[in-house]
Amino acid sequence: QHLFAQAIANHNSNAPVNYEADRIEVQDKAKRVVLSGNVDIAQSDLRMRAARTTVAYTDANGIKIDRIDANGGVQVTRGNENARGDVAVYDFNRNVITMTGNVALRRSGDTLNGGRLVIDLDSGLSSVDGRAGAGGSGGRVSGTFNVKQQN
Amino acid sequence: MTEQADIMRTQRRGFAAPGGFHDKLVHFLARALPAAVGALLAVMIIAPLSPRGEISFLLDRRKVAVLEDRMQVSSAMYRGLDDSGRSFSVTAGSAVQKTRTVPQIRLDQLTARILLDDGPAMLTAGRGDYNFDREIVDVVGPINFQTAGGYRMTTTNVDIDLGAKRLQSRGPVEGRIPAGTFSADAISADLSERSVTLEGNARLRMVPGKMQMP
Repeated sequence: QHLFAQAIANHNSNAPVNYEADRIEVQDKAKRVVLSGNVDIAQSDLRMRAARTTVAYTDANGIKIDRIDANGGVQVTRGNENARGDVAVYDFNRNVITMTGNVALRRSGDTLNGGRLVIDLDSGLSSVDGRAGAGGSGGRVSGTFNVKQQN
Repeated sequence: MTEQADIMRTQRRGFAAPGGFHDKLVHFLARALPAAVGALLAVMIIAPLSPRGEISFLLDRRKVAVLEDRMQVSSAMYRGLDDSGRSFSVTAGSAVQKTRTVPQIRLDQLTARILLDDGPAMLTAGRGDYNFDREIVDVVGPINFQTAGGYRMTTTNVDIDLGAKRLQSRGPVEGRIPAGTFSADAISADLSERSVTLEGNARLRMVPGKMQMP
């Protein structure tokens, strides 16, 4: 099952990206940056924290980041939306963040838990579904929403 | 004779009259000048003979300006072989070796040229100390590194190990590489692998889009 939650739309994935970590290794030949030790990646209002991340980029004519793979207790926060999971992949070309492994999405009071979370940064749509990781069997999705009291 | 002419003539006679100022002046000079000539002649003859007049100096070994640098070379070049047997060269605007005991040479405006797997590379720095025994240049201040393939890096205060073609920083540094600008407590870079490792609250800033070459 899919549960959709609306969030702030159109995140600019070409904004400068700031990385902070205990250790950063930039491998120019492999066009890869390996970060480890409470990694904190910030891009405009999007922020990703994890234990280890790898950034794949190309610098043919100007720097272009292709994807960021993060694992080890990943936390993605954006505006009032906060998502947690074991593994996250930020795909810059499709402008989508995919998180898998007991994912919890929290947004101003509402929560959604499930196997996999897909945040579409263009439309701001975050959808949680039960498939745990790569096409597992239909897992459960649970969530709590607080509704305004009409009294 | 006109009246003025008579007046002028009487004035002139009065001026030249015996016992007048002019007359006394001439009498005095008639005696003073020859005396001055004689005196001058005397001085010129006697002066060189007197012991005081002899001009000479004693070179005192202690007081002379001593250059304590043992060796000073301008536009120096040092050659060596790195660990993989390829030659490298360090050229400098000026090189000073202070003492014989320490194999340390202070270089200014230094350029190190090394050979990497994918072609030659060059490191330039303002000032550095080259230890030619361990083939290590420790650079004070900014340094930039560029390879034939266009990879460039700038950073500060690093030790360059020309043998192993590695950079090692001694303290916190920041700099720029094609991927972006970085800063960290310590960095170590492998020049042939073109990999830079930042250690200790490392920061890297990537700006997608146009390339800012250092």
